[in-house]
Amino acid sequence: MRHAVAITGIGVISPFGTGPEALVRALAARRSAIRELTVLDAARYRWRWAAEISDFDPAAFLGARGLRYFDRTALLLSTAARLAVQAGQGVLEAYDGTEVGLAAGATYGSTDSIVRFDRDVLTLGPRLVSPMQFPNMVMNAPAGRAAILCALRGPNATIGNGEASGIDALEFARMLLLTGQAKAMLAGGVHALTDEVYHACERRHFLFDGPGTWSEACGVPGPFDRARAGAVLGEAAALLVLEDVEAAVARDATIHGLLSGYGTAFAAGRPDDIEVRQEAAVHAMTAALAEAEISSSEVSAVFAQANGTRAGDRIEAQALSEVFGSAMSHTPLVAIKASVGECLEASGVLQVIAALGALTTGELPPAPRTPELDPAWAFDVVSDGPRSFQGDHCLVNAVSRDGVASSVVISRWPGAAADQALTAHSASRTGRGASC
Amino acid sequence: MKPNRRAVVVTGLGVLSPIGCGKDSFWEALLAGASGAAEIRSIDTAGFRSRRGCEIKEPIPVSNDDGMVMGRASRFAVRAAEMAIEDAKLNLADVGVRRLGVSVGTTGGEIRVLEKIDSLRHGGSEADVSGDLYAAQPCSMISASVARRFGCGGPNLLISTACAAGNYALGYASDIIRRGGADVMLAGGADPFSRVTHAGFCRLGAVTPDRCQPFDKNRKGILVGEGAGIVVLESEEHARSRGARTYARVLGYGLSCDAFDPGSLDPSGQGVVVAMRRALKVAGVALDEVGYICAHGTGTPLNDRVETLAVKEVFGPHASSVPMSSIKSMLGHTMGAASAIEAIACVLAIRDGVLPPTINYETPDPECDLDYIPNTPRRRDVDIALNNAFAFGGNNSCLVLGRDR
Repeated sequence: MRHAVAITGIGVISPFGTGPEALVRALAARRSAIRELTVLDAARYRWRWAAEISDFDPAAFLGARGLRYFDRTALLLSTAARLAVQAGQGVLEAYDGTEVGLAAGATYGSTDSIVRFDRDVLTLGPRLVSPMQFPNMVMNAPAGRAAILCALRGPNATIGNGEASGIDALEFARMLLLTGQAKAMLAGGVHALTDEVYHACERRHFLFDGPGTWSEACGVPGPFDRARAGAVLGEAAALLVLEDVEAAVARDATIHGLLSGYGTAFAAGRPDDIEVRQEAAVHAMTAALAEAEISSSEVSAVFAQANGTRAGDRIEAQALSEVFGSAMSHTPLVAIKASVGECLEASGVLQVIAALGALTTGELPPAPRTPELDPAWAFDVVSDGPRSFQGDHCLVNAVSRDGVASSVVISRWPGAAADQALTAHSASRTGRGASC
Repeated sequence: MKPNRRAVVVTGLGVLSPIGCGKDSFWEALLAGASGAAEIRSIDTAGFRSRRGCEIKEPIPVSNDDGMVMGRASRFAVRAAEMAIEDAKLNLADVGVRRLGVSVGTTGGEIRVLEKIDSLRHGGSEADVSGDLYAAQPCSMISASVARRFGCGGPNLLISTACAAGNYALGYASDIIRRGGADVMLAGGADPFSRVTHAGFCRLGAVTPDRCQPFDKNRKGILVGEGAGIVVLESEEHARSRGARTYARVLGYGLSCDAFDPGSLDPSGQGVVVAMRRALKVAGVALDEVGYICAHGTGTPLNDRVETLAVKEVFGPHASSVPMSSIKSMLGHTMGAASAIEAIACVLAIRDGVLPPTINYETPDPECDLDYIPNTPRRRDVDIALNNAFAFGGNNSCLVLGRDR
C-alpha cells in the first residue's frame, strides 16, 4: 500500500438522489431506479427504460445564474464537484486553489452538443450557429465548467476511456498526487442520458433486448444471470476527493478509505475476441491486487462491472474465476447495475462509492433480484438481503467495450476508528425508484 | 535535478502535418518556413466566413486487416504511430505485451465520423447509418485503434483536453513509464479537420481571413488545421538495453486550469503561469537553462498577448533572452495534435541545434515584445525546451524536454 492515496470526500448525484448516503441506503434496500424514460423522447427507441435523474434541479446546487449554456453532462459533473467540495472537509481551504484539480472520466458527454451544433451548421448555415454553444463541442467542457464553478485551478483533465473512464480518472488523479503536480484532486466520472448516446447504444446492440414490458422488466435479468440480455443505461456523476494520506492525517481529515491499488490492461484484439478481453481483465485485477500488496484471498468483496450484457458479464465472470479460482464461491460479489443502471463513465466510481459504503456501514448491498446464475459460475452474488461485512479490501472492476480493463482496490483506512461519515447524516434527498 | 525513478527518453518520431508527413519532410518544411494554408477541400465551405485552412493533402495509408471502420482521427494516430515505431527501429515483439501502452490526446476525437452520421441522417434517413459507424464514433477508438494495430496490451489512455491534449498525453505517458507501469508508450495527439470546429472558430471570429501571424501586431486569428504527432517513449534502461538512438528526454510537465471561461484564456495569464512554473519545477529545471520555448502561439490577439505576459512573469529578466516561436504560423492549429507535433519540433531542435521560425511576422506589437525567431530559423544549441499548450476549458499543459546525456 505504499502508493495508496486517501479518499476524504464523496460527491455524487445518482438516480437515488445526492450524496453517498442516499445511494448506499437505496442499494441496501434493494431498490431499482430503472423506470420508463422521461428525460429523453422515449418514442424514438425500441427499449425505453433507464435509471434516470428525473427530478434533477441544477439551480438547487449551482445557483440559477450562468447555467444557460451548460449541457446536461456539465450540469451533473458540476453538481458532483460542488458536492465533493462540500464533503471534502475544507479541502479548498486546506490547500492553495492551484493545487486542487479535477480529473473527470467523460467519453460521450459532448456527442449531443456536437450533433446539434453540426445540425445547425447544415440547416441554418455556418454564420448562424451559436458562438456560445461552441465551447461545448470539446469533451473537456464539463470539467472546465465545473472548475470555474468550484474555483479548481489545479490540474484539470478529461479521460475518454469509455466505461473505464471513471476508474482511469481516479488513477490519473492519483498519479498527479504521487508526482507532486497536485495536493488534492476531485476525480471520478460522469454520464448524462442524451439522445445521441442512447441511440448509439441501441444501434450497437448494447441495450437490453430481452422480451418483456416494464412490469416484467422490474425484474430485468440482472448481472451474471443466465437470461441476461443487455445493459440498461443510467446517469450519474460521481467524484471522490483524493489526497496524500499523510496530508489528510495532518489536517485531521476523516479518511473514508484508501485507493490502494490500480491495474489496467488493453485487449489488443478484435472487440469480439472474448478471450483477449478476458486476459486483459485478469491482468487488470491481478495488477491492482499486486500494487495493493494483497493476495486474492484477502479480497473481502468484489464490486463487479457486471452490466448484464451477455459478453461483458461473461468476460468478467471468467476473469474472476481465473483470478480467484474456487474462492469465487465464497467471495461476495456485489452487482449494483440492476439498481443504478449502466452509468458508463460514472459506473466504476459508483461501485467504489458502494464499496466505501460497505466499509463504513458493515453491510454489502444486495442485487434487486436474485439471479439465476449461469451454471458455469459458482459465484456468491449478494442478493437475498444486505450481508454483514467486516472485510478490509474491496476489488472494483471496469471493463470497456472498446478494450480497456481497469481495476482498483479500495481498502479500509487502518488508522482510524470506524468512520461514520456515510451513516451519520440522513439522506439529503430522497431517491426514487421501484422496489423490486 | 530532481531524482526521477526512471528517466524517460524519446526514441521515435511520427508526424502527419499540413506541411509534410514523416519527421524529415516535416522538419525540412519547418526550417524552410513552409505554409500549410490552402483552400479547404475536405468540407463544403459554402457559407463559411473563411475558406482557408491547413489540411493534410496526401492520402494516409493505413492497412485495415480486421475490417473495422476507422475514423480519420484513428487513421492519423495509427499512421503516425507506425512512423514512430519504424523511426525508433523498435521490434514490438521484443516488448512485453503489457509493458507497451498508448496515450493519445485529442480535441474532436472522431468528430468526422459524427459529422458523417449527421450528414447521412440529414440528407436521408437513419437507415443509411450503419451500426459500424456508431461503433467507430467514441473518442476512445483512437487510442484503441493504435493499440489494436500494434498489439499494445498495457495502459491505454485517451485524454480529451482539447488543444492542450498532446502535452497531457506525452506527460502522462512519461509518468506511467517513470513509475514502472510500462516500458514503452506510444504517445501523442491526433485531430482531423472538422466542419464543426471550423464553423465554431469562424463564428467566434477567431479565424484569420488570410495568413496566420502569431505575435505580429496585425495578427487576425488562427487557421484550423489537422494532423497527428506520435512519439515512442521508453524508459532509459529499455532504450539502452536495445541500443536505441535517443533524441531527448521528457523531463516533466505541468498542468493547471484557468477556471475562468470555458472558451477563452484568462487575460491575466495566471493559469498559464502556474502550468509553466509547475512544469519547470517538476522537471527540476532552472529558468536560465531553458533554451527554447515552443509557443502555443495561436495567432489570436488575446492568446499571443497573454502568452507573452505569462512568459515574462515566469522568466523575469531571462524572458527576452529565450527564443520563442510559433510553428502554428506554418501548420495552422492542429488542435489536440498541436502540442504533440510541437513536442516533436522541440525534440528536433534539441537534436540539430536549430530553432524553427515564426513565419508571416512583419510588424512588432508593443504588447508582444519577446524574441519570436521571425521568419528564418536560428542556429542555437538547446539543452532544454519548454512546450506550451493552452485549451478550451482552461486546460493548460506545459512539457519540458531535454537533451539526453
